[in-house]
Amino acid sequence: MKVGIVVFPGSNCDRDTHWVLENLLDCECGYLWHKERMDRRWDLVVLPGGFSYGDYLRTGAIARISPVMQDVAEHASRGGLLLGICNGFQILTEAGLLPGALMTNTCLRFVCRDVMLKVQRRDSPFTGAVDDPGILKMPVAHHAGRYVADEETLEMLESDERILFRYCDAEGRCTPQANPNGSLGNIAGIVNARGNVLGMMPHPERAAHHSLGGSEGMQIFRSVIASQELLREV
Amino acid sequence: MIQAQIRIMPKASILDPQGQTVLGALKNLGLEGPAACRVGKFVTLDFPRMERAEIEREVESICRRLLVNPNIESWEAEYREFEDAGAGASAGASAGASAGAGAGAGAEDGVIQSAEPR
Repeated sequence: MKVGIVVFPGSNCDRDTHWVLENLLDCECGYLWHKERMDRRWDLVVLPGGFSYGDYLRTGAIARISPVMQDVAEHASRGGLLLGICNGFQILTEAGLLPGALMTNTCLRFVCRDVMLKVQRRDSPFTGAVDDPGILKMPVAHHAGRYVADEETLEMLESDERILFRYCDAEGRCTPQANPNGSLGNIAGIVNARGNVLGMMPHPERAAHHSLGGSEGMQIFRSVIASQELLREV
Repeated sequence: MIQAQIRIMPKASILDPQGQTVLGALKNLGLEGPAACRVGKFVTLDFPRMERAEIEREVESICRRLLVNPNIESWEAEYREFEDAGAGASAGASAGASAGAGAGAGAEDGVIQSAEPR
């Protein structure tokens, strides 16, 4: 699988993502500097975590007007897989590729700890290879991860089953106590209407090896790889 | 020189934990007067050459395209005239524009231009 990883000034999870996908999963990876245009096709494009443009104005607000974002949007409109992790999720909402917005955590603190995620559906290219019972542990590390959207949007996300991950406890209960940032509906990750664009606050690339404290994030990447292999077989 | 002074606030429907925390801190100081507090942003833009109507159109575009996320924020702008560029930073109080007028006054002689998010 060919993976393009976009690098903005202030991205800081680009190398982690590259390392995991290339060294642990044998993907062919390349960096895409935000000022340059995408010159080739990728199976998956990742907007990695970090603090693009120092989070000035609003998280993701300035990154979303970088030249490469035109090509990222085009990639998504062709049906290409696009994964925004943490700051990448914030950029996707600012770019209008996903609805809603991510605001400062209710607790007003930077939250950096493991969370549990309830996988809401496993028929998506990002979750097809998730093991039973569909509960994953991986870390969050953000100051602005509180997902907000108007009521109409939330209803649409619910009814169209576009919420892929919710914060939960170890038993899979989506309680207020399990919610690290005050996100509406415990939302941790959503997809676009077509299902090929995922934004998520937790970091699967930081849960990619037992030496990192867990490897359950790998199930996300393995799902993507499996979905691409299926496509090739068709 | 005309300076646009843009006030950006979290929409009323959006929880503002920063405002709540400031309100709590005020109460801790024994300042019980305010019943609510919201924290926003203030941005100034200096236009040395353009006419007022043109500036208002430009500010509308600037807010829509970059400064404001209409999902979570609303904004309004005041316009102040200064004798020369560079005076704006310190002379904000001298222009005598009143901020009390109803929001939504638009272009007219009114000082405030505002936009409810779409």
